[in-house]
Amino acid sequence: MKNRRGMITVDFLFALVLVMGFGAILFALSMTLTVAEVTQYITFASARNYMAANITPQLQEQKANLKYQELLGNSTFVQFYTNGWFEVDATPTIGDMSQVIAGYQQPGTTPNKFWGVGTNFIARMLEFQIPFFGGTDAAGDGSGSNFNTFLASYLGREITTSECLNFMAQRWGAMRNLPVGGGMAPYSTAPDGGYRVYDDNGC
Amino acid sequence: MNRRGASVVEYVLILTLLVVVSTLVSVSFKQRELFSNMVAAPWVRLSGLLQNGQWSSPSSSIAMHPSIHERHISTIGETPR
Repeated sequence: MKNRRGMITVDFLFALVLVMGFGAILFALSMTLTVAEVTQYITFASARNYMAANITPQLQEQKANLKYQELLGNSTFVQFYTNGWFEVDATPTIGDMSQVIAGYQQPGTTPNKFWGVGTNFIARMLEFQIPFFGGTDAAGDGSGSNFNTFLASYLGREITTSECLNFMAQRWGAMRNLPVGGGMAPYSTAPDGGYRVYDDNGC
Repeated sequence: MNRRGASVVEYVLILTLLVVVSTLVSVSFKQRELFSNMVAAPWVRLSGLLQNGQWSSPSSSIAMHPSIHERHISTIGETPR
């Protein structure tokens, strides 16, 4: 028996698959953490656009959505979300997350306002099979949907013109209901034309 | 005397041994779900950290999200230098 080179082939194949499996896991984890950071930035940039004052709250949401779509469509970022490795929502979740996300408002507590932009993030590339050694998710269905989380940025939201004007109108109504004593004339008898609005920075 | 047959038997035995060991290792990996414990198990805590800022599953860490923290302010401020 002169040719003995085949003896080690079995061992070599076994070890090679194992090493490649570990390599694939390290690559997938590195990519996932990288893209999670990229996605986090996209929500941050969208939340920044959402925060800035505008005419109405709807226009603020529109600005946030536009930035989200712009960054998702970026020629570099779009590769991450269209090759099947990662997935995010087509449209972001915008608003006060303490009202949107179940569990952020515990019964009997007063939740803080968490205005911002968020999206569901699924790292599908983390689920794969390594020959001879099994898969990376024993409970998975092969789609990688178990590797999901919610990424969001909360920067608050500035008041809009319409909300400011509405507040001013409501304030005049409340002032007219104030109790006045000492022989002073009540506000309720004052004409609407006598109410002058002086708001900081203008509405 | 041709002794090559003895070597062949020896190689077959070694090959069998390698295959058996490889199979045992493979079965052990699958039964212990080694790779799943390396990836899927930590992801649960990692997703909780990404979502709620706490190293635990999202379902348990959601109660620790800052949205339900008590509001805190300082009425003293920083000590003047």
